[in-house]
Amino acid sequence: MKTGVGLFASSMLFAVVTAIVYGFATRDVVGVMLLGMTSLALFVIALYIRVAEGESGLRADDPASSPADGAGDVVGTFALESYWPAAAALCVGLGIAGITFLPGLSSAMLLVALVAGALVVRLLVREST
Amino acid sequence: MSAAAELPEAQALVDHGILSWLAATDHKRIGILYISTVFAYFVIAGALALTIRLQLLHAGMTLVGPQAFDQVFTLHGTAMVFLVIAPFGFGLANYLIPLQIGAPDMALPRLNAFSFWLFLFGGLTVFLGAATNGGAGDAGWTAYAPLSTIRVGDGLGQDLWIVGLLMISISTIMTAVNFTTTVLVYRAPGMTMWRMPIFTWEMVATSLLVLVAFPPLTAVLAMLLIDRRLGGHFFDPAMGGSAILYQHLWWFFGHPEVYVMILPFFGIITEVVATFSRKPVFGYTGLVLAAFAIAGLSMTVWAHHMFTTGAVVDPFFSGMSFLIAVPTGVKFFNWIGTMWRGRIRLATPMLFALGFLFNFLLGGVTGVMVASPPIDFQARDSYFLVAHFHYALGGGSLFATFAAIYFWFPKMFGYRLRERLGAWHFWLLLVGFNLTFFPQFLLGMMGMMRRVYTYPAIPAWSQLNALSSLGAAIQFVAVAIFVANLIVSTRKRIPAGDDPWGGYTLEWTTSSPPPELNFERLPPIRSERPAYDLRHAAAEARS
Repeated sequence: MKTGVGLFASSMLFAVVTAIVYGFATRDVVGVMLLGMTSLALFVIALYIRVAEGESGLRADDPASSPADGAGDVVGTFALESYWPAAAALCVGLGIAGITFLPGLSSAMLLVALVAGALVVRLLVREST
Repeated sequence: MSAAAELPEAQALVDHGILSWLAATDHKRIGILYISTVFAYFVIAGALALTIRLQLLHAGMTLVGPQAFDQVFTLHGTAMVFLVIAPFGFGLANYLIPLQIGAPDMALPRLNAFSFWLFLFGGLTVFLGAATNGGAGDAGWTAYAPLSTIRVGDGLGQDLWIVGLLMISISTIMTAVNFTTTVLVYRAPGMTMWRMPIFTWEMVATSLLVLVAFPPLTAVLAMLLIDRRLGGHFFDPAMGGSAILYQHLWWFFGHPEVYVMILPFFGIITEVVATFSRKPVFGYTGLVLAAFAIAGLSMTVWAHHMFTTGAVVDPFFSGMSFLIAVPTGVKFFNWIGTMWRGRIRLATPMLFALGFLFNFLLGGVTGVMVASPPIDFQARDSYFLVAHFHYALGGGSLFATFAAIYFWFPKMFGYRLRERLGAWHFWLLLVGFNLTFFPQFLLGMMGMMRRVYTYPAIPAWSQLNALSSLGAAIQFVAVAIFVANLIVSTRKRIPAGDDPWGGYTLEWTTSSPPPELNFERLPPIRSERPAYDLRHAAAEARS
């Protein structure tokens, strides 16, 4: 994960340096703001990876390790199938599109109605996870 | 490495059939869903392109009127950028990244599926605008303010374009989060970052760009919608807003977006060239560093799209734009170095890779030309620019797309595509593509503007436009041959085996198609060519 931290941290440094050079070269507020916010976003990501790295103990980062060393490790839980992503995407999509078609009606109300509908469907259909 | 394969009470929702695709969370299925959807959008966008070329076949054609023509090129550009090229990269990465790093699936499978469905619905929403009274969005794929802030009639078409893109931008950000997390956390033991395949590295760079560039897109689309629907004045100069602000925000997204549309394809070309040159990748470290140099620099060049506004400092952006050609050149030399003294096999994927190298070189070099403001002032909004970006994205990404399909199709489905039909596909596409777009360089230099539904009856212009339209017809035939190849190959399947090409990366060590959770057994990973190492270990053991 050191490489991951390095990637985002060096990108952040590059964005900071560019923002400074750009600011002096052009005196343009918009560009400085955009580059500044970019560097902030990259800083947050780099910081998170750095904090998470301490707890990770990834075998992948050990060049001498082999898959047999990781036998028995529980890597994660992978949901084999789920209708929820499609249903959630439909709700979000209709909620966003609802801004266009129903400007007078709160899109949040539409979203709630669709989520309620999804819950009803879930009661009627057997779900595995 | 084992994975929790099933929860004790887990039951399949639907074992077979169409409905099981609705509930898919396996990265391989989601990758195939992405690629299939992309192909459907490609057919629609291609039909729109043919409409453009037919309308411009002769001066004064009346196939479509001016307003309809605006909708046609808007939808063509939007579909190609947001629904075809970039999503193909994401779909392929969805399929390949876990296989290439030795992971059982993506880190966040349900988020992965959510991203796909939101992408699908976003694309449908964009096209839904065509069914409204006023027609689809017609302000171009860039939708500059104030053109896009003016509501004509109910304006639903443009609004649907905006909300469709909002969905796609959210979907893309989620995808980038998924890719980054998967690569950082789910690599197999021994798969250090510096042993990852170049394609996976390119996707890490692409994800970094998406995380930086798509939030401004989301913001500018929301601001545009507020201006159009909620009485906002972000981009209205009369009320204290700024139309130039729109361009800054748009292109701060827009230029990284074009690198989002090319970096995955650089990765594809690297894999294909190395495999079919039968040599290791030349300059692995250089390729990785160049990818991130391109990603970083791409965040600093956005206003080279705004040279003619007079509102930006041209020398800064011109200098940075020239600079970005350097890491791209490094990549080109690395690809040539990989082929140098290799034992090259001209299988169909390699043909498309060579086509990519030729076409993208033209696109890239003309990009350096327009990075110079004096040339850009002449070329801006002319067909020179249209030719430039089509060479980079069409001649580049599209050729790499077909290289990827021919290369990885056997892995995905267990059988090969026909080589002879593939060769016909390639040569016709190469000829058709160059016939379509090279004349457009000349048209641009002669002064023909882009986004025009007709042009004056100048003989040279008419001849060049006719040539360009003929090229488009040849491209149509080439794509039809590709479809025929898919049908013929599926009807009479030739089994591909696990590793039909002698590949280097980890996906070639598992079966074709791979099992659920990808690997029955992972080989030891000691280099960036684990499949090659495994083959040679097996050969040594036999001898």
